[in-house]
Amino acid sequence: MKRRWPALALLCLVGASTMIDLASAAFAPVATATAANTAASTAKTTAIATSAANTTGAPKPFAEAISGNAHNPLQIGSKAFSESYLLAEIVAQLLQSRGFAVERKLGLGGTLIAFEAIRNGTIDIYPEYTGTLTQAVLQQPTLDFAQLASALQTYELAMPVALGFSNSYAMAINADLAQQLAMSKISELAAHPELQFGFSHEFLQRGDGWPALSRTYGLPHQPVGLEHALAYAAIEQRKLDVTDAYTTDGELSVRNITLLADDLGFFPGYDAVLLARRDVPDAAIAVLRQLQQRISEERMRELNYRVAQHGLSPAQAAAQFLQEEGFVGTASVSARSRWQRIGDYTLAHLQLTATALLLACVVAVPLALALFRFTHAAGVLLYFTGLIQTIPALALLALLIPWVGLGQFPAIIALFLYSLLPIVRNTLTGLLGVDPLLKQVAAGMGMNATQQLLRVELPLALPTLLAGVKTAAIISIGTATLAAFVGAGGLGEPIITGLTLNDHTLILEGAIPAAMLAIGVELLFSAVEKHWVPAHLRH
Amino acid sequence: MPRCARATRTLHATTTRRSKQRQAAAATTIASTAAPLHRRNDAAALPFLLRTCLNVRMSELRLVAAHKTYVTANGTITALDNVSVDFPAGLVTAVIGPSGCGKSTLLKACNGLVALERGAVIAFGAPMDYDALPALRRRMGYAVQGNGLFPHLSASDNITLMARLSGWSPQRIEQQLGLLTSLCQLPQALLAQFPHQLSGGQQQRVGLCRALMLKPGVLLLDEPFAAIDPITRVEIYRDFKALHSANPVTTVLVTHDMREALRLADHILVMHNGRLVYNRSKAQLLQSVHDDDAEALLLSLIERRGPA
Repeated sequence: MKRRWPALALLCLVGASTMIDLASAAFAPVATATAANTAASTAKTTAIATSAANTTGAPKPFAEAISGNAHNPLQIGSKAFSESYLLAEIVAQLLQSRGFAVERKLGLGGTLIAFEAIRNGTIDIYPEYTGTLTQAVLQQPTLDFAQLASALQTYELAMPVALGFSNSYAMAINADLAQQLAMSKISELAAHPELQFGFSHEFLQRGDGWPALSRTYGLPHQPVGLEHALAYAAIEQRKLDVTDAYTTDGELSVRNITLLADDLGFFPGYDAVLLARRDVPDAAIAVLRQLQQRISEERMRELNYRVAQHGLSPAQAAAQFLQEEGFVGTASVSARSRWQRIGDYTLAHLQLTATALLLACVVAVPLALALFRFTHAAGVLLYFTGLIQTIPALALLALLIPWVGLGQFPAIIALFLYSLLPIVRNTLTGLLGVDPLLKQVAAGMGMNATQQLLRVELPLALPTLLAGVKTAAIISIGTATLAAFVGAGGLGEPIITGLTLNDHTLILEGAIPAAMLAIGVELLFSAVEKHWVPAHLRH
Repeated sequence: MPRCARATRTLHATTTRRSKQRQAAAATTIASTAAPLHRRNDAAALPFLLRTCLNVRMSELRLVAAHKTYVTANGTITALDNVSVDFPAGLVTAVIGPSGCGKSTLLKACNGLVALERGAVIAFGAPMDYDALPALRRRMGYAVQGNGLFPHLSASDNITLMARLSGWSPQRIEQQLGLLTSLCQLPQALLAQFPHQLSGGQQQRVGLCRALMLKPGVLLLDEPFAAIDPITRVEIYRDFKALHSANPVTTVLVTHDMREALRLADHILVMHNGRLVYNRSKAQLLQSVHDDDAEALLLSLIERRGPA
């Protein structure tokens, strides 16, 4: 029996790491073939697993669904990269300017999570790319736009708006060189084998990258691998002639670089669309249709550049866009003040950790009390709580999504599970560490088992027990920052947004309050200890 | 024979300062009727009614053919080998012997901390009910060597804990606490202190008060004075005697110190390898031997390996 445990643990870990791969793969615009397979099959199982939950919980009452009133605000989501934030802000601010109540659930940790979120109704609308949907989610790369739209109907989803640009791979070339060679299409590269190609390592290796591209266009070049960050500068300085690029890369808007047309249609279309639940009110959809074909690739590049280089927040860039395009009269980002924002994040963060910690105490302490006299059972309990601890937080969150969806619920469950080990372990350690002589005396004096536990063992184990709860609390405060990946909010939201946008101020907006919360918890528990534990028994 | 044994006990309980001549006479009577040790406690088997008629204070605590073995890595150790003993009522009985002789097991058998394999514990006139140990143990005070005090409770909370758990009224608790602490000269100021703030002697006094708090019928002491320096020990002996004469409870005092036994006990049991090798009153002991070195005396008692 014992031999099976390592195998089971291994299985859990493998499962966990797969989920992590998925989450990270989802960030890349084109998923590798294998990752796409895994993603799609997982998405399928996800769909099966959650369909039951959805039929009971998700469909909104008709009256609520038709009006985007304050009681039922539209939930706008985004994935955790700059362009996605920006598009979501455009959607949110446009809807707000037309009188719809919206809530933002931005920075969801990847395609899988975002798609699951919209399926189960945690969010109503988020920006997505057709290529991601066909490849990573549906695993049917050959679908055209209309087929994709009808395939999404089975998920009760729609693509009401195509924004007008595509964010896919492209071949970038020095603009002067292109002019000189009178070159505008990739197929024309074949005639110039003297050109120096340099690609990111990923593009060079992927089956659907350079190897397939060179076959399709019959390109004889011998490319070198180099860091993407260096490639644009190298091209401008004519050290390099051609590299791979993303069509909406903000840097392209200021570099002397031209993109070559994919005249054989080699790269899959990553057309930007708004993915919406079919129960989103028609009035809101009508507003969003104003965005139809309104953002060109050039425009998107330029907006991305404002965020990447001008230090604008996605919200500010979105507001400028809406004003410049005449959607709204004056740019008015109805942003909360920084302090208000930090207050809200901190409150949500506290709510998450406190709920999880309380649950963990209610479960772990009685469990440890019930089992500490049975060495074997206590060992098994420790083993299981320890096993949970080995699952990486992001993987655990991802594993929980099929069962409980998104938002605070999976975050609380994950934090609860992580809190079990320190509390169980310390409670057991405390109880087992009570001097046997004192237990003997307690029994010999005539205390029954309950009295021995409550009057002697528990009070003597209390300092260790409290230390365990304190550890759990501090770990939870740290781990809860990851909960923002599944839309649970909290201080992780500014941290993750800040990481994505490379905005240090925003990162600190989350990190400093989190650190202060940890210190606060430390102080709180010291006060509790002071009150409950005599000085000479404190740790 | 049984009557004689009891007569001796009564005699020695009431006439500690009688002339040597009379003691000698009594001892001769016993000696002449001496039977093998395990037979001598047959008196304890007398029916309750008969004992009542004889108007002798009934023994609160007896062991009958108690047997207990421990299995260790080095084989089986017999801690109690068919031990029968009748602890004289209201007196202090010292159980003495070298380490591992079984004296501690004997004490723990008395309050059920150790369950016997064979034999019985007769406490307060009835065989021990192992399903109702807490209730029984509350009638038996218990104090142990070293720091048996609960470190998270103040001295007074240690003493009064069981009284509170037993639902005593605050007035009654206060009264009994005051009585005990004044008897063993524990200053009131010390009662609010935690055990670690007290000296070794003070800790032992608190332990004794705690054991006597519920006015038990039996007091079980497991080497309570072993960890105390000799000077303090003299004071503690004095206070213990004061406590005991005010509360003359049947006391079992386990010790490895013959001097302590002679100092405190009225009755001496010597154990060796799980067997009871000596069981007499102190008076008889002092009379029958002429060795004033306590350790040598103990050794000689053990070496006899049997009833005197």
